[in-house]
Amino acid sequence: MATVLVGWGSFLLWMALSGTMSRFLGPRTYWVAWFGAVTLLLTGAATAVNAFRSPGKRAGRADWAGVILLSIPIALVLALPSPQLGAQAASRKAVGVGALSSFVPPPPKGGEIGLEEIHYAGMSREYADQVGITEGADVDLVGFVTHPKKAKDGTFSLTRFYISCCAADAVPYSVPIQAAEDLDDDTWLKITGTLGRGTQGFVVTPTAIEEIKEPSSPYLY
Amino acid sequence: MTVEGSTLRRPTSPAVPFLAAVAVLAVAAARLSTLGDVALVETFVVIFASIVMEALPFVLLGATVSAAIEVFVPDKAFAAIGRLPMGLQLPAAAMGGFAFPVCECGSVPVARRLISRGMHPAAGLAFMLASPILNPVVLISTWVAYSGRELGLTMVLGRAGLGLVLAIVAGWAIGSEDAKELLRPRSSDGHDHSHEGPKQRAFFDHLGSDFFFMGRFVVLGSALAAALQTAIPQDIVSGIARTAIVGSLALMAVAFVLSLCSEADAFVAVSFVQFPLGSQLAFLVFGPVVDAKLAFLYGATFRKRFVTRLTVVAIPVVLAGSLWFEALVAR
Repeated sequence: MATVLVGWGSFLLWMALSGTMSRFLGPRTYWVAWFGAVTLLLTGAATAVNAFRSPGKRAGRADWAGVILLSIPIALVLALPSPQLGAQAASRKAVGVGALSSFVPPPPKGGEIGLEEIHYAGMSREYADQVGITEGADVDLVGFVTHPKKAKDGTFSLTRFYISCCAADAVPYSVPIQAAEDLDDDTWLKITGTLGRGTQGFVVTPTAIEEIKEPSSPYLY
Repeated sequence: MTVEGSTLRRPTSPAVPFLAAVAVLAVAAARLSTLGDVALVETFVVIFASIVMEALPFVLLGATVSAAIEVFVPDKAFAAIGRLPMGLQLPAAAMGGFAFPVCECGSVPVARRLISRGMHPAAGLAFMLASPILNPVVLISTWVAYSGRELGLTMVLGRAGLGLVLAIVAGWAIGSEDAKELLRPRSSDGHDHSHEGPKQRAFFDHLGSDFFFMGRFVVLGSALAAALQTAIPQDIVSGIARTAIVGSLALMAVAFVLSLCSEADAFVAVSFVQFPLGSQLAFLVFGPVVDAKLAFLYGATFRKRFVTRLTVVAIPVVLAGSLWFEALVAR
């Protein structure tokens, strides 16, 4: 038991120190992992000391089932070199914008125009005016390539996930790119271009497309 | 262990959770092999691991409190609480959630311990259902999430109010029976080592066994939630957001699938801008009470059909509450 407690504690500590955590949690919940790392290590140490002083009952089969189950998440994370949410997740997690009864846009965050702002601006003219999104505006966007169901053949969208607490609540925001050439799913791009009106919301006509390495934090918060 | 206690002792088979895990993995592997898609596995792993990472620290916190109750609170205290009239115990236990910063994964082992030590089952359940909604961390995060839209206080009051009502109603409806009828017996209850050796030792033994017991069901529940999220396209719900009733039911279903921690879910609820506010409230009250990972935890802690009964009580209460809330705030 002590092994698993210490194992999970060290796992969380490693995630926190190496920055791997940013693939799973948003900054708002980093404290949970830190808290977990410290408490799990302390509890594991106390359990180990107790077991060393006077060995308790032998581990039963139920205990082994617990050990195996609790090690599965760690094993999976370590088995995949750099897992993250990509185009496949975007196709599952996309929230449609078709049927809005009473859309109340969120307050503008300020700062540069990102994919999230463009998404909302496509739904509400009022919001678009507030954040200053108009046709012809220059934009500078970073994201990865996806191919939404409804998109025409040979076109792609630029997508980025927004996370509030952990990857379970990730929401993808994307904008169609009117480019001459198509690209593979999950290619990271930096696109400079101008906004235009499409059939549904805004589209971007790029002036420059640059392939980039995946950013150090793949999601936005 | 007392004589009547020993009738509780029918060990649950370790094969059950293990087989369930194998089944989940097998389904995932089967889907993978048909599609030959690494991206699918990545999505699953990221969501799965992120839920477990967020939940385990709180399971440990819950196990700590639960072990402290077992080892350091004398029997006299529970006997005294058990003698109080139901009409007082039930709301008092639900209000106890205000003072107790444990979210849903932690409150289950605590409630189990409270009930097995003599608190009325209805009161124990009311506490279990109320604390993930009413606890201070959750209310503050709700306020923060909604204050950007100047609805902070409204949502906090709505969430606390409806959560309190739901906890009392569900506790009264489901918990008014014998503790032995409600709780599933656990093999570790048989090995009673709390009265030998130092209290420190007993404390860590209980803590360890509670953490292990709950931990493996959190893993199973998170795997289910991640599998659902990986397989089901979410835009099927947004197409039906037109009315408050359908919107509330849809967001309750989403809350079940997402299995978020109640300390974090308000930030997600606020992003459902296309749904009416009442429906967002339904998401915030239903999720901490019934979701995919809790279904596993409840299944391991309580007798059969507990999850079904709780769901049957929770859906109409939350639906009615959210519609009333929508009518109030929409004026």
